Amino acid sequence: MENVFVLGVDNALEAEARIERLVIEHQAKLARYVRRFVNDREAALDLTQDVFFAAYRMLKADPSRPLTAGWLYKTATNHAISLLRKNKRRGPTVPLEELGSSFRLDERSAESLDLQRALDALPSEQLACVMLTTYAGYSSAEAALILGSSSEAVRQRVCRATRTMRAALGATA
Amino acid sequence: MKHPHGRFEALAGAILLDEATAADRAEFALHAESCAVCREDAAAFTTPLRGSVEAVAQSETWRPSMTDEILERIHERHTKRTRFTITTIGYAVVASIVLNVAFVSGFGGRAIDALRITPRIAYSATQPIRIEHRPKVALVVNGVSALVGPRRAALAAVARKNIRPASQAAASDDIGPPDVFDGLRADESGARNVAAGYPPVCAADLERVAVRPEPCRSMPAERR
Ligand SMILES: [Zn+2]
Repeated sequence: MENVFVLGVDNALEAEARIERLVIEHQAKLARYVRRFVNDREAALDLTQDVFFAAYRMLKADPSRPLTAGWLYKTATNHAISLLRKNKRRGPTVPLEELGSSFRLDERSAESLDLQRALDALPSEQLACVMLTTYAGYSSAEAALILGSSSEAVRQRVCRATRTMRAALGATA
Repeated sequence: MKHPHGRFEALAGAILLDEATAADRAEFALHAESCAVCREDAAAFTTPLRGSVEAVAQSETWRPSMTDEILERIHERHTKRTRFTITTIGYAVVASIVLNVAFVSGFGGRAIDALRITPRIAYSATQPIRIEHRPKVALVVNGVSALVGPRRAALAAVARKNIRPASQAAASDDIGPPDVFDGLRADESGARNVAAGYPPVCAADLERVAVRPEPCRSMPAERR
């Protein structure tokens, strides 16, 4: 009984130490990744926190379990997509000026806004493929593993997403 | 069914992600010569998607930091869990102490004994009803047993007074209890209806009534 209790405390401490390292290493990139889906800074922060907390619970149960950044992105993508589905849509396409208001002043570069607008036009599955392969830096095979899909399907989605984004950027230009 | 153009979309995606082999590129180029859609896709290859998104990501200045919040949340959860565990253990200890004291002081035993007492069923909140166990009495009238209704009661009353052997009557008044048949009078209207169905009893019949005491099976046999 005592051993179980001590083991529980050890697990919690080890999980806490590991989660702290994971948070420090991945929080900024993961939060920005999530924000591309939810397009709202606060919502992105909440969702990212939930992802790390889910990781903590998992590590606490089994501290020896390997937990990669891929797991974080997978969980974040699932959370984000289910949030999008819950909200039915990511919200109406807003004018550039209003969209810019959700970014900090120093982020309002034309490229950033254009890209955000183009990404807004994508269905969530295509967006996940584009973000994982371009932003998070995974190969199509790795993204396929994260999304539970095939490498070919990821490449197809990236191709279709590019068409949609090209159209959106063309309309902006 | 697979989209017939899907293969070339996948190839275009591979080229966009810079994952395509030379053979893939050659296959796509050959197809694009005769496909307007793919020719348009090929125009995007000059600016690889990955590179442009990365460039935008580099320019991002949002530095979200949530280390403190997450650790605080984890500690909060710890505190809640610890508090819950301590409370539960505390309740368990108090409960075991109370039970121990109760049994050591004898209170627990008395409480359990109290549960074993024969219930006194109060009638109209003031009149206690006493439930007693009496031996059964079998009636034999003209060789026919088990008469029912008021007729049986009448026969039994006469039998108790006149026909019971003197030795038994002297030995115990409890044999052939008067209230064995009292219950039969409970539903008088029903009993009257039943009684009406029997022929009237004459004195000669009553004289022939005999009462034979029969020991109750659930009571221990009387010692002699
Ligand atoms: Zn084609």
